[in-house]
Amino acid sequence: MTSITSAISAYSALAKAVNGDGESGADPAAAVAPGGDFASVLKDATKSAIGALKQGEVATAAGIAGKADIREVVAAVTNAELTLETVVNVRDKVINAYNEIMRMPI
Amino acid sequence: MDDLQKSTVVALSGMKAQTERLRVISENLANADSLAQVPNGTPYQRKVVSFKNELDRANGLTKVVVGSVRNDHSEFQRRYDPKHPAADSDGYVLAPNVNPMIEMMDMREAQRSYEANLNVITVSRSLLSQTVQLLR
Repeated sequence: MTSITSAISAYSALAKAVNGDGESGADPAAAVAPGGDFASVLKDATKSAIGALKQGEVATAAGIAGKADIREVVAAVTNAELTLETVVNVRDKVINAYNEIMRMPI
Repeated sequence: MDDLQKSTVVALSGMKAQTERLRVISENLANADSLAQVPNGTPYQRKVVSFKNELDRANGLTKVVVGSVRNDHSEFQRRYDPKHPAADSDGYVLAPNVNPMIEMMDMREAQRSYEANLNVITVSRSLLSQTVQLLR
């Protein structure tokens, strides 16, 4: 339910940005910002995914250098993979919902 | 942290502990014939591993770590080998208190334990991944 409302608000924010194209040429992010959740949730999720991926990279590098336990490498890489999978799935889901609303005849 | 991820972390600690155990077993097996160097000298002494639980306060987990690797103080074997430089007046040399059969059994136990932890990881990973798949 929240995702639908946030998608709607993101849509309305985007509509405002499109309508007020002339005056707000500068900052689409600011226009979307009051719509809130959609963008920030995606941003946070991406950030955590990037963090997990970086951990995986660091562990892999240490493993190749012979400094890390092979099990730690496996754990870090698996964790990164899972986080990425989650983020991708959530993104697809949210974008699907958004597209669904965009297609709605008004 | 998700509980399934926690179980993975715990299982990993178990695997790590078992690898250390396996390392000690391999030391014992490899040194099964490391006899004494001088008469009445001590040969290689068998080592035994003991595990202990360790609280991971950050995540609220109880992991396992290797507590200590101690020497096994049981009696050395005596081998009749009068030509050996460390043989005593009766021709006996002290040999390590390592019984390859016991080491093999220990090794099998370590292997099984490692595999059990591996299975825990496989299961929790597949559960996590299936849960994520629900989003599709």
